[in-house]
Amino acid sequence: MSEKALFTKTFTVDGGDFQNAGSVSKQVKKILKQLNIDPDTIWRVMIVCYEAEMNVVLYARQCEVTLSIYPDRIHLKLADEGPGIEDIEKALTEGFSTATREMRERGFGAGLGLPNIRKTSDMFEIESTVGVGTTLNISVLLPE
Amino acid sequence: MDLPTIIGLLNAENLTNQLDMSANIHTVHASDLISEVLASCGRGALWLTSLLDTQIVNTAELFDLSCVVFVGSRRPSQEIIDAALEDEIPIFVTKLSMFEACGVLYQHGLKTANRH
Repeated sequence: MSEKALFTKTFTVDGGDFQNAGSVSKQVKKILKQLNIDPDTIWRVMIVCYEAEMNVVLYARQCEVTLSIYPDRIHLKLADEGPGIEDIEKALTEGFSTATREMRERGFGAGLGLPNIRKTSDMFEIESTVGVGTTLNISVLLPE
Repeated sequence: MDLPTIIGLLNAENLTNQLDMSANIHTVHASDLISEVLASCGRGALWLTSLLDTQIVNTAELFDLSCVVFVGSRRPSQEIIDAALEDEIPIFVTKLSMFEACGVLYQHGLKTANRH
């Protein structure tokens, strides 16, 4: 994988801010469209970006999201301050969820988020410390 | 099938009259779970739902869905209608239940949007 980013931009997501939830994903989509990235790649990036953004809104306090575009891939780094994940393997299991009733009533919390990010991306790394936060590094490869 | 024909079959009310109705739709996703749209719904689908949340429009826009039909006379708030107009996602409301709406569209040849 080549290492020099052609484009980088950082965004902030606030936990619990349902009013603006999804706005970072929308901005990312706009940037990718302006750069003429193909629609299938944009769609995959949107799945990982929106899932991850909603995880922050639902569970964390705040998160810095960095979009980096490399010649061969689109990379997202999400570093949040939040409760962290106690059991990462469990959190990556489809159907496992710690969502509250309110989250479920909003159409989330089915336990599909992290597994879907892993499944949709080409590279997925997760690190988490309970009581500190979670960092995701996700890449989607561009078509050759 | 063209969107006006589908809306006629569902006897649905158009809540975003100003928006383009030229979409041609082949697939349908029926769910009240946003997570499920992300996990299994392909692009271009019509989304049947009874969930009234502003994230519905965001989700439809981000994932290239054609339109949203609220079933069971579940009428979205003005905030949702305004978001739909801004994001250019046509939205509709039908008296048909989820079961009835699915049945009508299935009977007329529309397919599942499930990508798996």
